[in-house]
Amino acid sequence: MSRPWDAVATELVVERGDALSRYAYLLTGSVDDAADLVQDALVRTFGTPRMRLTLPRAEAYVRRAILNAVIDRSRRDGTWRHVRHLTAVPASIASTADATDERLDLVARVRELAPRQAACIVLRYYDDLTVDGVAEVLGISPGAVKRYLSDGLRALSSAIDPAGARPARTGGDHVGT
Amino acid sequence: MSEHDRNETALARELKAAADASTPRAIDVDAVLGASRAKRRARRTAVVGGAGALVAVLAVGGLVFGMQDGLFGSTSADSSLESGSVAESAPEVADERDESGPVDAEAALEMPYCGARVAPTTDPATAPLAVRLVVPENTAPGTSVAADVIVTNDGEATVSGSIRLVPGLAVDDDGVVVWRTSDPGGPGTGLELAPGESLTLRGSLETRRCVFGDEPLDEAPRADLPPLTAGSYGARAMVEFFAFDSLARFVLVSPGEPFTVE
Repeated sequence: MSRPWDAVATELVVERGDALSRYAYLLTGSVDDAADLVQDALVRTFGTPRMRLTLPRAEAYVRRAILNAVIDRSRRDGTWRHVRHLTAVPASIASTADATDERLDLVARVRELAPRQAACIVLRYYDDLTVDGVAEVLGISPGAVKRYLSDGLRALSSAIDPAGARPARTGGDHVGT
Repeated sequence: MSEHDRNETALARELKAAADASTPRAIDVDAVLGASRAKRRARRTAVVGGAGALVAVLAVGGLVFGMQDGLFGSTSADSSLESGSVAESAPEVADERDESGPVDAEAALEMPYCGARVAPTTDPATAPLAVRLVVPENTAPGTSVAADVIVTNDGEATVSGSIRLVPGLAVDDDGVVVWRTSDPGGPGTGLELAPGESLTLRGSLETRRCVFGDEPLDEAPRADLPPLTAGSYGARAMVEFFAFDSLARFVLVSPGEPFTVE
């Protein structure tokens, strides 16, 4: 017999699975890590009884679970995170056609942000959510979202190319975690 | 268009280009459903089975569970527990029921994250038990504070079920969570409360400040958090209860209890 949460889970995966995977990918830089994170977040979400679990609420839960996993991981990897820019050039730099472009790859820079800043940036500028929408998904106040967006944009400003003159990025798996 | 707007547009364009260029790995729906089902079943078994005893509490405030690190602490209550109140085995509750039943329908939310709004107080009209939190009126910053969570049957009929013995506790600053424990947990124990009877669970909260992201999902905040600044705060308790009559799970949230850090 089909269960209500089965139906919500299935519908979420079918209709929003790719969006969730791409959200996780932008936060991790790895297609495989993203898939594992999404799958784990889905189990966390649907493995706990919840009241009135609608599709939007389920998606919000999954996104929070993904973000918390990223935060948890970044805390564990904190030491490496602080020094890796001193020891390695991001793979995406080497893959661009324009070798003279000294700016760091923007998407890689997003992943260098604090996870909650990165999540706000991705939800606001990739998923096109409003500030209130981001706040609702992440369960934080709109004021906190504005602060994270402001801090995140400031940190990214040197890597943003308003004219769009840089070559488009290709592929995703080449970007290291 | 301002430079700020151009930057935002460029950022959106590059994020979309990067995301679109990736090829997401397919999500295994069957694996998700199977693992979720197993996790729910394990959770329900823990709640319903628990210690396996049905405890009849015969006196108001007659039973106090002292909790430390999720284990039974000292039983510091009066003598009612010893007065023959431990009763028959808990009723069998089939664990293989269709999960579309009341367990799903009545299940409630978990502890809000640090930085999130507090959970709304449970409407007494819809809950079988009332929960009240007792904390000292004045506390010092950066300390551990004992908290009593009093679960009372304010109704007119006896309530029986299974209760998790470790309450969830949260501290809020003007409605925003600034410290929290993990979700309600611990062993589930059979419980029977006649009208007017109550049960006291013990926990502790920390007068420390966490922010969003300070805790991984389902876990308590880190121990190295900064102390709360002096001022007025609120505290709330969450208790998980599984009602035998309706086979429904409830997460009962107490009203906010004010206290001062000074």
